[in-house]
Amino acid sequence: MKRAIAFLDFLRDFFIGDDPAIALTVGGAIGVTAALRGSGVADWWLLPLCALLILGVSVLRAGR
Amino acid sequence: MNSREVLLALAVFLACAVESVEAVTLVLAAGLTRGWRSAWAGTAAALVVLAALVAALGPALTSLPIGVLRIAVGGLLLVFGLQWLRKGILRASGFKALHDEDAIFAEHAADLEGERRGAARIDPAGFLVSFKGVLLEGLEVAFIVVTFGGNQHDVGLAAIAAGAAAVVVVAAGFAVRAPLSRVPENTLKLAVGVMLSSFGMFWAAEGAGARWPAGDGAILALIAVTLLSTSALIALLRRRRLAIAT
Repeated sequence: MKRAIAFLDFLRDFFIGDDPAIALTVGGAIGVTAALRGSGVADWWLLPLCALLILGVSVLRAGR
Repeated sequence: MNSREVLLALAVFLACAVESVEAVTLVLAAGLTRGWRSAWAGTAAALVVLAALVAALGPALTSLPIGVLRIAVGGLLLVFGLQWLRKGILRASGFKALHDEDAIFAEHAADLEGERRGAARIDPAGFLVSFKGVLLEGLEVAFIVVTFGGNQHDVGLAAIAAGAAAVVVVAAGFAVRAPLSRVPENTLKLAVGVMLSSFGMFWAAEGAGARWPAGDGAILALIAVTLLSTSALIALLRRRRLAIAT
């Protein structure tokens, strides 16, 4: 039981970490990039922009 | 060797060298920060899975959904890398202690427990990062060999060129391992966070269908932009901390 809980803790820490907003933003940005596939819109910048923006928001919030 | 064979070998060597650099970078990152035992275990497990896939599928390997794999591996690396950057930025700016005493205590306690049991401890995060990196890049190397070699009806030569590229890149990785291990811990973790995030952005966006303007060269631009953003955030938070202190 202890091992199962430790494993679940590891999974939560690995996939979500200290700030769940990071995982949610990354998932959302990947989804939007996939939705734009074939639309003719240049979409390569979307994921890096969202990832770096949420990183900034997350550290600035933590550093208040 | 005629000119067609030289060109085939050169193209496969260069393409596989790029893929191998990506895999070796992730194994180095995992080994230097999470321990070499876990990094080697992840690498060995990935090579076993890769060998089984190549043996089972052969030329049918190209039917594997590489886009889905790129999204899964890239997305996870990106989330993982951003978390490391977040912690590293907060530590470098003084908003988080450089040494997390609770984590150090837990790690030492686990080490002692492991020694008591006589068991070798594998760090799951280090294992997974190197496993995912080697498996994805290994698959891409296998795709290159099958597609380039298949088109030129010389899979054997393509496989030799790919093997040579892997040997050269792995040797270079060994050479830089020792100097890298002397870099301060938080600096190293920040650098690893930059690498994981950049590779993660590249693979996940590519898997989702985005076309990078400079192909694999876009990774260098992503590393530069991520590094600049990280430095800017550290500087901003240091100023904020000084303002709070005064």
